[in-house]
Amino acid sequence: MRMLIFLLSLLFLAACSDSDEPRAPTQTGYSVYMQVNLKPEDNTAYLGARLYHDGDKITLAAGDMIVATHNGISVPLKGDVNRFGFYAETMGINDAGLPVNFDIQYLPVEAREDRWYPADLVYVDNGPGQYVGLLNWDILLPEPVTITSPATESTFNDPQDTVTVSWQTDATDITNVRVFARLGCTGQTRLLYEGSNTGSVSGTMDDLFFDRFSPATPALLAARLPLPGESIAEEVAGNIIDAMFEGLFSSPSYNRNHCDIAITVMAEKQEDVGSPFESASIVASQSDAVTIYFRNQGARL
Amino acid sequence: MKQGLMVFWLALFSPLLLAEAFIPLQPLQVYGGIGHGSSVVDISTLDEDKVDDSDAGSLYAKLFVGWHLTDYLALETGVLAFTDYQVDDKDAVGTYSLELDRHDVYLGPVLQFKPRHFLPLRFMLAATWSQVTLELRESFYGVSPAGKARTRDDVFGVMLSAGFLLMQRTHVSAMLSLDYVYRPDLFDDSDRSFDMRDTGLSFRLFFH
Repeated sequence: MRMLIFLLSLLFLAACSDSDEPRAPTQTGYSVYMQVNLKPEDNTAYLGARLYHDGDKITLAAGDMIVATHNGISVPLKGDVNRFGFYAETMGINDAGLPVNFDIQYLPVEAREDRWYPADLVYVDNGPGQYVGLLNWDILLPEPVTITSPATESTFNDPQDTVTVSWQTDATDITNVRVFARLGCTGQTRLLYEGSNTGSVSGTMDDLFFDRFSPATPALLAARLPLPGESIAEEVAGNIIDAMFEGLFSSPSYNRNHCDIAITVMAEKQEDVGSPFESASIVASQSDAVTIYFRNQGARL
Repeated sequence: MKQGLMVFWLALFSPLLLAEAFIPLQPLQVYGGIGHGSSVVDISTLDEDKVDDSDAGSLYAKLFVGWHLTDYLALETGVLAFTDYQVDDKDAVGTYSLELDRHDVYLGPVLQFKPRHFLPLRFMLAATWSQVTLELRESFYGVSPAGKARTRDDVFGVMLSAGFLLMQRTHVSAMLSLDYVYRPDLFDDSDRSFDMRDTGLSFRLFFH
């Protein structure tokens, strides 16, 4: 019995030792998670990606970069030293009907463009790494999504006021919808809903602050994005949302009774990627956003 | 360590400073000498925030010769050699260590005079020719072999120097000076060219 408890304890400790990093997919071979989200109001696409090999994050060092190309214009995705293996960038989309192509190229100068010294004149040139040429696929964006309610710049005065977020899209290939609320007063982003294309979700203003919109998101999560891992998908989408909202609001006041809120609906479709990838989750999405105001009349300021 | 060096030189020569009488300058006299100091490095780029200058210092040595043209004016030329200025950093590409090695040759007029009740003063404004070598060592988180690369640039710049003679004897003098070397637009073939300045305190010995 003691031995059994000891072994169970070891198993428990091993499970707890996992870090907060997004879990890697367990599959062997190559796998990828990538998202392209178009924000039509400024024709800007937000790109985020992670790649894996045998469950380990692929680090594109030494000058290898994921490059996105749209209508003849190429943009390399940049890595972040604090989030190894995660690559992101924004790019202009001038024709949403044309695909965004992704591949991996050796760009030693562009990879070092954030360094202060003349990195275009001096760098260690090892040539293309093993992942160059691994990817080459096109992502086509879905049809646009439009938020039909609430009207932008609507004001809500009571925590029990109902907020109904409705959207419309002509797309027939939407596999997932996410509804986000960016709270200007706290600087936080809330995922209000994630699941099938229901057309609307609702809740009170109080619910909005505490992620209690209806229909509830958790019940729908299991059926979505099977590969390469839920937490990775969340991380990529979360970073895209953060980039989209960057600079939208001034510094947080932490006064929830006086809050500007940006509501975003992201309509996503899955894309398939063939060999050499054992598993892949490529998400193309379009989003729409409105800003609403919460001014709690009953609160003492 | 660099401050300690200055204290050492001052302590060594302070008795001489108190004891020695000053000798007037001699026109047409030739002199030569050596110097040793420590400098603070300042690098100016388009984006100041990107420069990590937490270890921004160097030691340097001087070798010089001069010729007194008049009682007050001399012409001096010399060579400055600095120890490497090093910056370490990392990003998504890899970790890197950058070393800037620099040598400067200068030529310029020196104004020297002795105010009443004070030590003899020397001021110099010189043109410089500087050779700067940038050596980069990079490693790539084990993804690709580590290595090093280097590039070099030559620029013209300016040197200012101001100091006073601590002691002066028939054939030897000692001086403490503040030196400033400005090298503009280094590596201007790049869109990330930068200016580099050394501001240093040095101790010099003159032989004449």
